[in-house]
Amino acid sequence: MKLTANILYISMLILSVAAQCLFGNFPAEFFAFPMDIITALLWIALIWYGYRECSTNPIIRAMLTPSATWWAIGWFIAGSLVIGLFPQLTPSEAAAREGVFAALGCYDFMTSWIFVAGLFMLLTNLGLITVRRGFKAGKNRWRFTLNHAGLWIALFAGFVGSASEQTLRVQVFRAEPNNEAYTAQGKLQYLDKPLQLADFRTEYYDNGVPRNFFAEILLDGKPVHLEVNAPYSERWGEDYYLASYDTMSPEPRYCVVQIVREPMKYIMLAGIIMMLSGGFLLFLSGPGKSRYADAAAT
Amino acid sequence: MITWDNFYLFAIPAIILWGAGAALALFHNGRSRAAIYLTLVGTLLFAAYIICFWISLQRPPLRTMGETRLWYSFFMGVSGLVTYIRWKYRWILSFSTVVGGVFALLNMLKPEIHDHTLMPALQSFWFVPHVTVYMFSYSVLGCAFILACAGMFRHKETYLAAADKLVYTGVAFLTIGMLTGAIWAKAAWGHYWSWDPKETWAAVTWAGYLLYMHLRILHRTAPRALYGILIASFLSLQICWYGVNYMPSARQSVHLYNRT
Repeated sequence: MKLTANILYISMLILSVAAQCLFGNFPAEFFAFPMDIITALLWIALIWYGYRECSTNPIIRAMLTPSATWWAIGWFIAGSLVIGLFPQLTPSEAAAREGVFAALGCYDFMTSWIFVAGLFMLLTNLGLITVRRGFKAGKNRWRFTLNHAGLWIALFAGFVGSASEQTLRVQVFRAEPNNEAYTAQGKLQYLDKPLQLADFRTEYYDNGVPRNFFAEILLDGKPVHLEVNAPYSERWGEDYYLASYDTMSPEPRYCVVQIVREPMKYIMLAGIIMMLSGGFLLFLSGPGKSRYADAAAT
Repeated sequence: MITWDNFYLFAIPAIILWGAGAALALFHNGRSRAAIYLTLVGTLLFAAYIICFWISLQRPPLRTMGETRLWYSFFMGVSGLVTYIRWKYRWILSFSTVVGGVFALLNMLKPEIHDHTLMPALQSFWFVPHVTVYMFSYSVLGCAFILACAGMFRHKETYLAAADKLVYTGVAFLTIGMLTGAIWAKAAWGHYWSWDPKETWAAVTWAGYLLYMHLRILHRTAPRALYGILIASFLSLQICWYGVNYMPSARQSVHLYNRT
């Protein structure tokens, strides 16, 4: 089975490199709503079906081996190292680069076929081992389930959910309401509710450095209080952040509000909370007895 | 009123006490009570400075690189002491003293904690738990790194058994630190995770330790390879903590507040 796992991962790696060289980066918008929901349901169903009904299938068995786990973690580390070592550029800047590294998507690696394939394998391996262990009673069952299922949910929401995520910035003026917002790529979008600045306050330290700033804005006429670290939640997965303000005038004429639309916000939070609980249990129960470590110690 | 100018009054006696404790432990068979008490008093002296400095600053001393080094020295004392009490390694206090002492010395020679201000994004409920939990995990994983270096030269199975316990504790705190950071990032900047350079290196570090844990549970891996993973993961942790500030990608980072 170890050999099958190795062949499976190496084949996947070669395929993803070929796809990257042939097609460029993965079309992340593919997972935009409703494809994110369909993908989630399909993926979970396939993992469940694969484990329950096809447990003798060599691919399922290979994906449940320790080798598959090391490959998945190793792939993730290698991918993260590429992101950490290469400057990550916008899609257009990355497309303008030339050379082997550019062809492999190293300058916009989060959406490269290689990184996406690695995440796919990691999530599939994680899903299968969570199903296998989560339904078996025994020591550390809850710790295992919380850590692994939480990681699956958080990674899935971040990976697939990024297609439906949107970040907009809007200048909110005192003089008049504004509903013209811009994406990170500079694309104009009209908001359905205009924003207007009603009041702005800044607190300073004795040396003149800003301590905090607060904005009172009107969102389609409704008063809303904004400050750093305290966003306003307008609806499911849509939050308003106070991002910046007019520092040139003694009395700011405008502030900048960032609008983040993230439909999977609470799903990701659920994954994070599960992992946090798993982290506490990891500390409380410590390492289990490794059969190999014990054998070597005796 | 305790200020940075008073730091040496606490740090130098603490290092002397740690050094005396380390020397006693080194030449004593089994667990030395005197070594434990000396190290404990040194650590409490460090804690006293942190508390007084916190009160004096009117904010938690967790913002600048110098302030995080302060916590690291303190937690290094705590972790070294706990490891010594639990596993009785005679040499561990020497290493924790050297590491904690070097970081304290850096703070004396290159003070970076004059600034009383705290930028708005750092004024959050998550600030204290996020940074202290991280600093504690760094120090515990620092002890695992010391064990790994010792094991590289002369392997003993007990080193790996002790490293397992340290890694589980360290990773538990690292995970909690990373996740509280994600929740805070969502409140401050709108995204739980944005592959910021610091976050990326945190992910590399975390996954490195996870690889070690999974190899230990599931496979008979050569000890040198395991020590190698522990050493590489700790180096990645150093990049995450301060090394990333010197990389070109740091210009894109939102974690620039700790560069002063």
